[in-house]
Amino acid sequence: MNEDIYYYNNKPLELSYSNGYSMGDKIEIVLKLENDFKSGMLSWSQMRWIIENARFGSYTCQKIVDKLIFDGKLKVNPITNNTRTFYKKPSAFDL
Amino acid sequence: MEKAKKGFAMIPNQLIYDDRLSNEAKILFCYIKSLSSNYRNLRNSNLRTKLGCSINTLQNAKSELVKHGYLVIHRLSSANKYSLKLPNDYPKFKQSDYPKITQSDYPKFGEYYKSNNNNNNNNNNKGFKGFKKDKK
Repeated sequence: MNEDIYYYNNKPLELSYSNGYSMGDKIEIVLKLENDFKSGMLSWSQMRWIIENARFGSYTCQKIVDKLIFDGKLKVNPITNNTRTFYKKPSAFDL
Repeated sequence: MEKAKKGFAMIPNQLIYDDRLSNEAKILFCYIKSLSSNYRNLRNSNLRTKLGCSINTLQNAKSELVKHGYLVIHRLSSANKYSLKLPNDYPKFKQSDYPKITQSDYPKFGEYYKSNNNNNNNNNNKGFKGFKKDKK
């Protein structure tokens, strides 16, 4: 399966558990991911690369996919190719 | 020819409403976006025939897109590889904007348990099974 690499400052995203990003960089990456998805510049193959390789921003991508499934816009999870979500739907008693 | 007319491409509004870019640059972005990401190794001659413009116009369009952060060109031997991205318009975040959180801000190990013991009413005044200690 072909995977597209997601770049930040012309470099591939670093790992989520061991990276040299500052607090500002991290906020910028999360905003960039959300902005790219809204404008159609973030493909499923890029999201798959981020999540499967545990890159920084994988939590944001998982939340984007989950929100689409909860809203009924997606029936199948495009990352895992099944109907399961990454996280459970927040209930009334969740903070 | 009919097959090529099928399908669609998503174009970001940020590009469409960007006044700094010329029409040729926008058309070039749209053409590259319509291709699959694995098929973006293009030669200048192919781009010229697809866009219907001269080499100078093509070079100007590419330099505009690169300058404003929409296009990254990876130089290869025979054909260049193009990758698209969106420029960052939001302000840069600095580390100095956030307070520094260090380990010393949290309660130390001993202090935490000392306070817990007081809450559980396990005073040191009481001896075994709650009997009072003899005062010496």
